[in-house]
Amino acid sequence: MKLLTRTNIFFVGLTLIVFTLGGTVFYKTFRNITREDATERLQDEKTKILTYVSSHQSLPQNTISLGDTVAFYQVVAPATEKTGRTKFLNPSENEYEPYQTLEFNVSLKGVNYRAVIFKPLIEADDLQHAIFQAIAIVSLILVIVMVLANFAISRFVWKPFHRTLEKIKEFDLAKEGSVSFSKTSIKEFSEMNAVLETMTNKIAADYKNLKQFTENASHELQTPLSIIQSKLELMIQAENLSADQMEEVRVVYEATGRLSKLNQALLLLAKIENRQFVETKQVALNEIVESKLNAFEELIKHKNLSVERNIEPVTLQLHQTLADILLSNLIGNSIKHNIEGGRISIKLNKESLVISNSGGQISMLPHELFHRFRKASDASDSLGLGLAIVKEICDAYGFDIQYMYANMVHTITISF
Amino acid sequence: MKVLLIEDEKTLAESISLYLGQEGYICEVANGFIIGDEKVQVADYDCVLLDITLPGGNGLDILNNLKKKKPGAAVIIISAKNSLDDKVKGLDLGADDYITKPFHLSELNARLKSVIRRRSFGGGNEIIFNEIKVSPADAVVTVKEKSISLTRKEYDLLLYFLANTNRVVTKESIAEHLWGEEMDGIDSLDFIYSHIKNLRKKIMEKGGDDYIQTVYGMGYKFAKK
Repeated sequence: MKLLTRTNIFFVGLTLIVFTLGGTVFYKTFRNITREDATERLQDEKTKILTYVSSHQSLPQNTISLGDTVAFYQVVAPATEKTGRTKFLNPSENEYEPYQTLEFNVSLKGVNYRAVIFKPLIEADDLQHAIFQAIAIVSLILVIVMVLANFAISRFVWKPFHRTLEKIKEFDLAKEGSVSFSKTSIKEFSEMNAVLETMTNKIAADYKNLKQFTENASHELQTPLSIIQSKLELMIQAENLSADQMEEVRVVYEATGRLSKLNQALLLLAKIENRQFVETKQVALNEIVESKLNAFEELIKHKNLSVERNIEPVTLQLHQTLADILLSNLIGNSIKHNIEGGRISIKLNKESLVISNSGGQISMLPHELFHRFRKASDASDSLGLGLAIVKEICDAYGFDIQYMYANMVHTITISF
Repeated sequence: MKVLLIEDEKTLAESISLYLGQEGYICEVANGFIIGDEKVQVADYDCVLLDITLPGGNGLDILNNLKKKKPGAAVIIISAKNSLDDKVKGLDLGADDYITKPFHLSELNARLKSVIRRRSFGGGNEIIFNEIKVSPADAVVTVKEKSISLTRKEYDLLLYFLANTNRVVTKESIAEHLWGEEMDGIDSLDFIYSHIKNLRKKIMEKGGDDYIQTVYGMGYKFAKK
């Protein structure tokens, strides 16, 4: 739910509560005021009647002029003054109407009379109705104003927030080192921006350090590896090694070779991630494809593979080495993971490169294929980094890469 | 043959100079930028093996200084950085070859021989091993004066063996020499074996001896029996 919707609902709800309560209070207050007013006026009338009685020595006959109804009846003993309320049927409207009453004693010529004045009050439902109507109109206006105000606030006051949000959405750790937000005079937003800026800068710095570390570590490993390898090479030249010793040296030598290749692959990955292959030039992909197929010729023949080429001349702005590695890994894979007598199909055009090869099903999810150290086969001489490197190269150039397996055919599609 | 090795990693320098010493080279070692720069200026070497990342300076500067003074000097760059830029820069400055760490000593040796050979007699000199004669300039191989025709890979393999005679050459180094990085992750032993079998057969067909010995599990040795 949008913040705006939520605040609007909140405002409308609050308005309803406030106005229900306010309306009730207003109603009660207004009713009390009219009642007090009626009581005061009844007292006035009482004074007038008593004055009339004492001056005229008769009960007033014409009471219509007072607007109220006055009734007199004889009583035996005077009772205390009493105010009250009662209802009478109004025949013209056929409904009960409320009256405020005042009963008091009138003494005329030694006879005790009880006088009752009936003062009509405003009808309760008339009052309620009027108040409800007024409140409803005011509420409606208020809600409309608030919703509109909210829209305006959201549009203008929240602008810096939305700008910041856009910036963060677009932020790519791998591409940008840091992020800077536009200035705002609103304290909360400028604080948020400052915090976000510090945070992203810290993350970016940590990320960079980490990547740098991988690269440096791999790099530093090269020299000791060179030393081990060279010492082993000298060792195997020795004439006096026993067969067992030779076998042990061989195992160490092979492991060193593997370690060295692994290290080179990791170094390459780190370099691509660190965007160190910046110098690009126009690279003819079709020529590289042909040269790779040439390089792999022996292997293709050995496995009895048939290669179907559908290659158009395509030139892209790439780094030569990366283009080379990309195609070498992909074509190499299509051969390595192929079956005896299988097929390879390479389609290259301006839009995409599609390499497919026959082969058995692999036991991993398609997206896992591009993860590091994921091996499709248990071939121990595979490092499991080839496709991770391919993916990294594609990411570096913004190419989309997809893997698909259907009917015993593995297909990798790169869309430029 | 005098070779100067400019390499700051002492243990590695030791291995290289030992291997090259066994090949009959006089190998001098310079462990830093300044001494290396000095040595190339004052003495003449058949080839300089130059590490790029040196304490105290960039090896490419030594190359630059050397080439200004002695444009004909032979240089092989050794680098821990597998960087195309360095490679291009180095070759542009006049280096003859470029090899990346970690490398096989047999590979370095083969490259060194090839560079010196190309330099010394304009590439016209022949490699002779008993009855086998290779003329690298026109890629002709003869056994007992009879020419044999080799495939590209067999020819490369033979040259590699001839550069490293009497030494165990590992199958890994052969694979890398013949196919470069392309064969990574592929069991190339079968391919090496079939090339060796063919090479041996072609030499023996013309009356040559079988010089290729198998060193079990490790690789091969090209040597007189």
